[in-house]
Amino acid sequence: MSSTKQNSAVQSIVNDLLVELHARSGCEKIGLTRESFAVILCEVGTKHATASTSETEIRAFFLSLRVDELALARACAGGNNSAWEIFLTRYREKLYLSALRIAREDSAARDLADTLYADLYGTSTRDGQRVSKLSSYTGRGSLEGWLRTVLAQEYVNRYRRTKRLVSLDEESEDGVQFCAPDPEPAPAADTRLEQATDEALALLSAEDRMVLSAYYLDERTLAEIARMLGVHESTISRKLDKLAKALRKQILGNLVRRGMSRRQAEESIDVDVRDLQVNIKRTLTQESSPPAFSEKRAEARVREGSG
Amino acid sequence: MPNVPNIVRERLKAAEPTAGHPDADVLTAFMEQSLRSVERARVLDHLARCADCRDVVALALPATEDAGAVTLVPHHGWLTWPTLRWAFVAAGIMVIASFGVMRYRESAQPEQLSRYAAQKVEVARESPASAPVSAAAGPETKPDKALVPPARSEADTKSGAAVEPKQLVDTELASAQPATRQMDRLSSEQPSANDFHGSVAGPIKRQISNGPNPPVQWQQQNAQLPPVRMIAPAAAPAATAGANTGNLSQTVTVEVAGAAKPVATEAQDHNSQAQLQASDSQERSAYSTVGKAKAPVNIETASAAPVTDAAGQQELPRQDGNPNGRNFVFATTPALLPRWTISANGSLQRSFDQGSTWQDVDVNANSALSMTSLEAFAKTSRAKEKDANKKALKAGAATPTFRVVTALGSEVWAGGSAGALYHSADAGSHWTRILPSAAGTNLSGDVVSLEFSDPQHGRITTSTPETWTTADEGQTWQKQ
Repeated sequence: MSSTKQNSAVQSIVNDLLVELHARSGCEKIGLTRESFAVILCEVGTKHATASTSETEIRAFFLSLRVDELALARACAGGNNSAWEIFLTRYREKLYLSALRIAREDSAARDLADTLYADLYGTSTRDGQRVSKLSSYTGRGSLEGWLRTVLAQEYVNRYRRTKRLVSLDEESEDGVQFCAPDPEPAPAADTRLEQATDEALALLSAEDRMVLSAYYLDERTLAEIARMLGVHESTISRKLDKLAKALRKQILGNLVRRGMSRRQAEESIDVDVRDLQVNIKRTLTQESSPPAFSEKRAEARVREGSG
Repeated sequence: MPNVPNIVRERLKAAEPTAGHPDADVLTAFMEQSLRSVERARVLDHLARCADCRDVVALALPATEDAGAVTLVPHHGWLTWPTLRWAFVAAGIMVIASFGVMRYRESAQPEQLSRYAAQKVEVARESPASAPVSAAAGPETKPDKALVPPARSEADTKSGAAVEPKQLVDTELASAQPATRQMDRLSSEQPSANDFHGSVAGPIKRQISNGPNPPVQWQQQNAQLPPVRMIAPAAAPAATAGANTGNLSQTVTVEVAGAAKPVATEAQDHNSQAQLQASDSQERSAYSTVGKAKAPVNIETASAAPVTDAAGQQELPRQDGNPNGRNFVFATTPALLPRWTISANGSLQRSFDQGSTWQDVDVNANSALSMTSLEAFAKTSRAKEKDANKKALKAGAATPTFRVVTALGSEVWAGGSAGALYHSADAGSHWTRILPSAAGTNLSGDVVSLEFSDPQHGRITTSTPETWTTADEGQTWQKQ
């Protein structure tokens, strides 16, 4: 469906459902006209619909929208005072409490909440038009959840920015400026290992990879991951067990298919050359005379094997 | 949790998001499980590659208390079949178990009842004519001999009520385990003459008089008598009062606690009704064997059964002078009631074997002076009663010469010379001397006729002649 066609499809569906959606939204109470609301609906529909979205899907999409909260948010974004009163009554307290939970500290929470308020109210202008963050709310999720997500995004952005600002003193301690350039890539086995691993990971579902990432990279708890996905904790536990075993088996198989022997493949998986490099670096910083390379390799192998 | 090779971590980390970050709306919808599967997969793929977005999702989750705001898919909710399955299984097991318990109880009850009844029968039989008004069991005359020394009362001491009285007959009710133990404990007690006081509100005590004898004698008697059935409702606590003889050679004075429902042990054949009646009447009085001005519990006994006190339900007037306390329940079969006669020399006699043998009855053995006025009765304390009894004993030390005797079930009235009027409510085990008095005058003359149409209403004619009537079992009299 071309975009023009798509737009007209959206339009006609909006016209179809307008009465029902308008009735549910209660936008008259907050000073939003029906026509304005129709425009809003079209914009939201168009933004969502892709070339492959069918009419049925568009229709289902509209019916799943939280039209009442959409109307409130857009009325607030438009500067409607009565809408703002309702918004503050309902969400002011919740906004602050969410900020406190995210920032875990009162002053940071207040800062976070105040910044968001300003964004929501629309203190900045563009082309003479007030720009409110509430304009980006489309009603797909609850307004309260949306506010929490926006807060979290703001917080992560701040933290990410702060994290990037590493002081020179810290860098000197870590020995970053003195670290040697990474050695040449390991022999072809490493490439094969990477490829085999990528191949194995690609076979997994997005959810499986997300679980692996959240657990092994972010080191989140099973409970946290379960909540993120809306499943039971035991589901995550079983999934991880299964995945760990399956991955190793798959990677081994992939390596063997790439010409490695079984033993080579196992060795390749269990011992990562990059780990060895890290170990050497650590050792250098602690001792004057590093042990022989071969000894270190053996130790690493033992360590990996027992891990 | 199992570990994964480091290479896996490396490659996961290296994965770059293929598309831009999803906006807050989409992430919110993702967290609230509102995305369609395709879109959800897309978001998941991004989350697998983007640590920042994973952080956002983790931070934006509602607090656990607000979990309701996030629509979690109830993959393993309580209402899912796997969980409900076990709930159903547990419920089914419980239903079956409770059903089995109920059935068991139902089947156990009849057995218990029959066993109890059988035992009661035994006890009833054993309960030798505890009648023996005679104080001493030893010198007791034939009645005692014929009877098992320890009158076994059917005191069903279920609720552990114990009878104070010296001698208690052990009814050996299966259900009365505590009583059984109690009986064992009391078995060593010796009867004492003249002591048949019991406390009104004491627990029921059962005493086994000499162990081995009773059963033997009981068996002997049993041969002669129709089986007596002791009845005790399974649930009824106990106590039946056994007839209390003077010195309690065989008597069971069972005091039932106020709330206890004594079980009437009826020396009758399977007379459960009797028992039930007894139970009902029990509520009203506690039977105190001793120390009461009133006759002790009158237990109907089979006439042929040498049971001293077949347990019968009896209500004795309470010591508090309850005028209505004296309600007698006739729950025993007539066969156990003795026959009465006046011997040629004016002795009162009774026979438990339809006239084959007769035993003299000594009304003075444990008689008490009966006050015809309620007030007097109410005032009588135990000590006073004792004195009164002694007085009466002294006063009527000489056994009166009886002229007439009438019996209605276990209610026996005997009248004789010099205005002697005696009443027994327990087929002659205990006697009370009645002194009809009205308007200041007492009954005079010899009692020449006694007519009792029912336990309450009676007419006495004397030689004077005087006619006295009572409408309340002899508590008050009117002179005609």
